[in-house]
Amino acid sequence: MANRFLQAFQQAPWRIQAQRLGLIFIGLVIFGLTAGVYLSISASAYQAGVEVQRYEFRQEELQRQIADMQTQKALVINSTNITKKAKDLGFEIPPQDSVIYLLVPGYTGPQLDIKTSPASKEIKRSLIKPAFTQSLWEYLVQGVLLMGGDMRSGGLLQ
Amino acid sequence: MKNFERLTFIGIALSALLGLIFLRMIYLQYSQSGQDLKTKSDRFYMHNQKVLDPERGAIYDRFGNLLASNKMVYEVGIDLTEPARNPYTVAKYLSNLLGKDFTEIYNLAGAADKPSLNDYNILADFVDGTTIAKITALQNSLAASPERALEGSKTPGTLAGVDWKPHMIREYPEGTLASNIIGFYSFLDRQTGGPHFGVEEEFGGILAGVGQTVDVSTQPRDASDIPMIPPGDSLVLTINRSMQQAVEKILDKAVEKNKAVSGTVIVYDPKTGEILAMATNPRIDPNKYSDSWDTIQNGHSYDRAIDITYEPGSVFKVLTMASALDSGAVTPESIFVDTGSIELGGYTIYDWDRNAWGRQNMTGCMQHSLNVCLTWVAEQLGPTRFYSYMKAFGVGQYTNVDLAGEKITPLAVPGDNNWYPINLGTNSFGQGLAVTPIQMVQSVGAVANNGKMMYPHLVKAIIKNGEKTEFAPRQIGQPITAKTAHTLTNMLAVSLEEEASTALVDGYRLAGKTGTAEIPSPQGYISNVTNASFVGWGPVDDPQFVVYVWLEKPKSSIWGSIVASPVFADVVQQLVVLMDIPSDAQRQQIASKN
Repeated sequence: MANRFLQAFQQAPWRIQAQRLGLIFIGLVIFGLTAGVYLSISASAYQAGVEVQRYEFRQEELQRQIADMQTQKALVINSTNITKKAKDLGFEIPPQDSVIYLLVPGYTGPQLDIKTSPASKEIKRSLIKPAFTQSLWEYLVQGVLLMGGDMRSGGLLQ
Repeated sequence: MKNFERLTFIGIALSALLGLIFLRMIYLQYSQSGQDLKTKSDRFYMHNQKVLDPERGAIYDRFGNLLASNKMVYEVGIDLTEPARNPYTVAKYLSNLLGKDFTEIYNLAGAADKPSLNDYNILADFVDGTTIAKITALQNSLAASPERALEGSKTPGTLAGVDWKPHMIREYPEGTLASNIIGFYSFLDRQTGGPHFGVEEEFGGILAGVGQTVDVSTQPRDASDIPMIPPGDSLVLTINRSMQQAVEKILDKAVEKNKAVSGTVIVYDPKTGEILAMATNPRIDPNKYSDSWDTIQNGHSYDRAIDITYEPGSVFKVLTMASALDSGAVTPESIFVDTGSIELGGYTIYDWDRNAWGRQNMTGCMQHSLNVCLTWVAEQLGPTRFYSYMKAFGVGQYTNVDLAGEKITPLAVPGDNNWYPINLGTNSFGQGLAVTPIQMVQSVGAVANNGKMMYPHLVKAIIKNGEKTEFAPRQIGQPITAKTAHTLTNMLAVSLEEEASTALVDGYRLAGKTGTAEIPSPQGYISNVTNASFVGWGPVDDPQFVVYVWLEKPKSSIWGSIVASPVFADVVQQLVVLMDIPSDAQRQQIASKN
């Protein structure tokens, strides 16, 4: 009796087939979407990484250029060139007996004048968040481990 | 049924095998050896080791003028794996631009096509930016019209494969200026080059900074921040570039005019111990250090102010008289009757002219530079007190000036194997002992600074990560009292005035002493060859500088009073302008207004 009852409500074979196909299709869509998101994030991460590398090379290049330009400037205004330029313009070191001194309150004479770069940082850190560079497998394993750890320790809020 | 069982068995077996493989994969992935393998592969294939060399710190004068810095140059090379490489074109164009021989470049560019372990050859190094710009333009031009094959070449003209890498080298923008102080960095040897002499060597570690080796991922997605390592610390020297330039110019002229072997001038601030200028002749251009490399390696002096000791002669009498006055052995009014000679330790000591100068007070003894009188003064002091004072003045000891390569000759004292009673006499007038100019400046500086002896130094401040730390002046002793210092300064000012010395400068009261020293050799003292010196300071009422002059073996005259005194005057005339020191009258006028 029971068999006959079940048989009475059995899905038509074409519907069963359609359901199975639907499930497979949904699975494929989910897989495709996941792969798409994964690929998109990976591509963005790689692109950002390439940019970072490019900026790092540029930073090194700029540092070299800054040092080089400071040296070029020093070569242009070195004592020989400055003395020659001053002479060409009609200046000379005054004879000691022709100098007139005035007392200027608050004037302390020439002071040290050096333009230095600001202090540099020394911290090595990752520029791209790990979430963007992990594989899904690593992400899942880490998530499972984290959950396990949380459960053991009584959860995040504790 | 049998078939079904067989299939089931095969299915189970295969599943079990697959399961085992899967388990093995998991094991390999997470086992220790698996992790080690992953680490190794990461290290060798996923990461590069990047050596981060900090930029070498700069060296400035006291007002921030650059004396040593770094500039960018390029290593030009060729990639031998480049299929379009054309050695003929490379050699034709680059031999001119790089100033190299055609055949050399042709062979380096791989013309012979010999199997080689290298896939990259360096064509030239230390190439400047202008040349690189020319090579770039040429490379672009040839790339745009490759049909421009050169005569004699079968293949299209191209500089394909030619590449360049930038790197930094040391540059000294002032050339020879202060090169004896700065030293140099042997940048031509990129692997083992290092600092030599001067502050470059003395502060080599500080200037170099701390390098780092970091792991850099070759995978862009693992890009991490490459640490910006701070450059080496920079040094601010005490020297004044303008003063150094002026003093070098005066010294160079004096050496040439007097046909001296060498010359040294030190300008020193007795109140702080700062060296304002330290000029030597000869000196090298540190940018072209390789031209003088053989001479330097053969033990020649690099900075005569610190690395050569010599018998200073009568300038040393300043220290003898300071000691005698301070101990009370003599007073300025003490009378000595000079007969032209004196016996000591079985030897006879004579005056410089072998004449008898008769009754002299102590000022007269200094003014006429009487060896016989100073020997008598030393006898009044006695060896114990004399050498005790010499020790307090730092004679025969390191000053520890902040330059590499300081030398000393220890002073022989009673009890030493090389000390004889005659030494007391000869030492009193600066013979039979050897000092460096820096030692003399340090000691005489005490007389110019109320008896307080300061540490002579050339580094005024260190700049670390943009922050400046200044060194405070350091007193290292007080060999004599302020009263003695004033008395002796006045005596030496009077002696200069009374002999109408060529060291005098109008408007400024100065104190000083000449020195003409015989030069010893293994066979005895050499005749008609001397070291001519002068030490002086001023203005007498408020000494702001000590100037020490040494001309080695001058030929125009052997006398310090003739060759060294005018150099002192020339230097002081420039100094007072560059240091903004008004004349005595103007200073009194300004003081009276306040």
